[in-house]
Amino acid sequence: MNEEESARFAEEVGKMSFEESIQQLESLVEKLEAGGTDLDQSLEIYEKAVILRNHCKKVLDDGQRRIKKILETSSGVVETDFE
Amino acid sequence: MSETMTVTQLNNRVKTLLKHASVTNIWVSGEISGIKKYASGHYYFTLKDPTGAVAAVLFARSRQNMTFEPRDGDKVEAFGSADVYPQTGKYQFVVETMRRSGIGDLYIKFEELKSRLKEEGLFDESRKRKMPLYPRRIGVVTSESGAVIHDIITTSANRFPADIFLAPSQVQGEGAAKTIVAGIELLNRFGVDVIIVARGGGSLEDLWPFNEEIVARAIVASKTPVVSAVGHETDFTIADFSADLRAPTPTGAAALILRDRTEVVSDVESMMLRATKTLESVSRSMEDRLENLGKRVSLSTVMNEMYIRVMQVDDLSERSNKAMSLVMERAGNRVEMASSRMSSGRTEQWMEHKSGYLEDLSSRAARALRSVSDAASSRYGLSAARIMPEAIMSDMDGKRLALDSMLDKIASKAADKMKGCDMRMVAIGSRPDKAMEGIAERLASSLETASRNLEGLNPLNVLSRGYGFITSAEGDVLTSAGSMSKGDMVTIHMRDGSAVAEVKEKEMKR
Repeated sequence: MNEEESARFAEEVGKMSFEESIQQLESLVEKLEAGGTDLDQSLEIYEKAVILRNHCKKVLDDGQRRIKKILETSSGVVETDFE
Repeated sequence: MSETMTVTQLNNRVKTLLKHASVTNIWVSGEISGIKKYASGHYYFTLKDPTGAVAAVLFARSRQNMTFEPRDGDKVEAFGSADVYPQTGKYQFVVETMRRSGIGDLYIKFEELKSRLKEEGLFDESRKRKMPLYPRRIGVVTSESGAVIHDIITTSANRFPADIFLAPSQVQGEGAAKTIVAGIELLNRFGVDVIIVARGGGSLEDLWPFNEEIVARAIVASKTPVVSAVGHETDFTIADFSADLRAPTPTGAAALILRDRTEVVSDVESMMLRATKTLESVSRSMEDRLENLGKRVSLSTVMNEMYIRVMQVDDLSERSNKAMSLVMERAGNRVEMASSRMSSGRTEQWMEHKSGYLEDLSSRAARALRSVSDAASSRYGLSAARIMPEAIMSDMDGKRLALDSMLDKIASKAADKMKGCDMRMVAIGSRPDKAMEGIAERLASSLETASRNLEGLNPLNVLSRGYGFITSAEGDVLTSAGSMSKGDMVTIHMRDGSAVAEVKEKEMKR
């Protein structure tokens, strides 16, 4: 992949859910392990795997979880901090 | 005539009457009030309902038949018999055991609703939604003041990171079921990945809202998967049967739906490790294939062979140069000798033709060399790009340029030498003969061969990175310390020249 392609893929991955990205990572690894890909294709798969892994790591390292109380009011659903 | 009796006789007769009437061994339901416990362990209280009251006594030995401590306001069903206290003539209800009223009804209601909803298919496994593996947003329907929500927050802290949204609800008492339903619906509209419906432990009545039909139906109607976590592990509610997953306790719910964070991290890393290992083996097998093709991409081999070829080219041009001069001198002599016998016009014409032919040869040789070197450099550019990691790939252009200029030099050197031969020949004004043509042609073709050999090499500009190679005094390439002895003179070849050195010390690797 050239820089443009990998930037495009990273953008795509950024929109994926954690579940989607870990599933895609898994299927890429399986494809790689199955063999039958030449070095060019293998490299591309590997580059994609790295991007997916980084995305997963980013989610996992994010310590900022939100704890909110939600209430239905006349002006819609209101979120307030809990605790 | 009416019978006459004493008060005591009357009371005793009523007492006997009651024993035979249908007021013994019966269940009486009512509410306890004015309860007093005496030191003897007996309880005295009034059982009442909206329109009546009766004095009641629970003796200490009967208290042992019960599972709860009776208190004022308790709605109970008391089992016992009516009796008269002869000393006062008052009648009272003697309680042998009591149970909280409505419990029996609740059990019946529970079983009835359970079998009805089951019949309807609400509890079918096939209807149950799959839990998300990695929920990012968790909705919780529970009381905002209880311990449950805090248990969930604490338990989830070290697990897969997810936001928690609490939809506060009542979890017991009148109207609680409606607030639970509202919470489930609100979280569905708000958007979460999974909903936990939770409550801490309590009596069957306490847990009752979770046994109500509207709650079961709201759980089934939820688009978002629902986990129930109500009471203790041994408590089962209708909500548990309706939910997509039942957690034994609220704390267990968080652990069930969120994987351990370090476990997920190690999953991701082990997949990456698998990818890395596979890639390594792919590139290894690629290298093997290259080797099998006789193209060893080892640095030292490439370096040695390349320099040997360069030297061969140099040597070849030198030798052909000499040979050609010699031939041309001889030819010149012959031409001089013959010139007297030939008309000068004819000689010049012939000369022109021959020198044109030589020029053509030399430029053909240069062209061949050039195109061979182009092919070699582009082929190596490609294969190097495949083998090299990305970082080195960016470096490749520079190396290719360096290679090009090296090959250019070789080509122009060869061309120069060819030209030099031409010039000399023209200057001598000699008549080229067949032998000379043959030599020139051989020169061109050896140049072609020599440069074609270059094709088989990876011409990365390795020498510019500080590598060199060593030849013996005889000019053989040395690849082992074993072939050197103390005192030997060797030549070190670097990118831009060479140096002669003497072997002072020698040490073999073990």
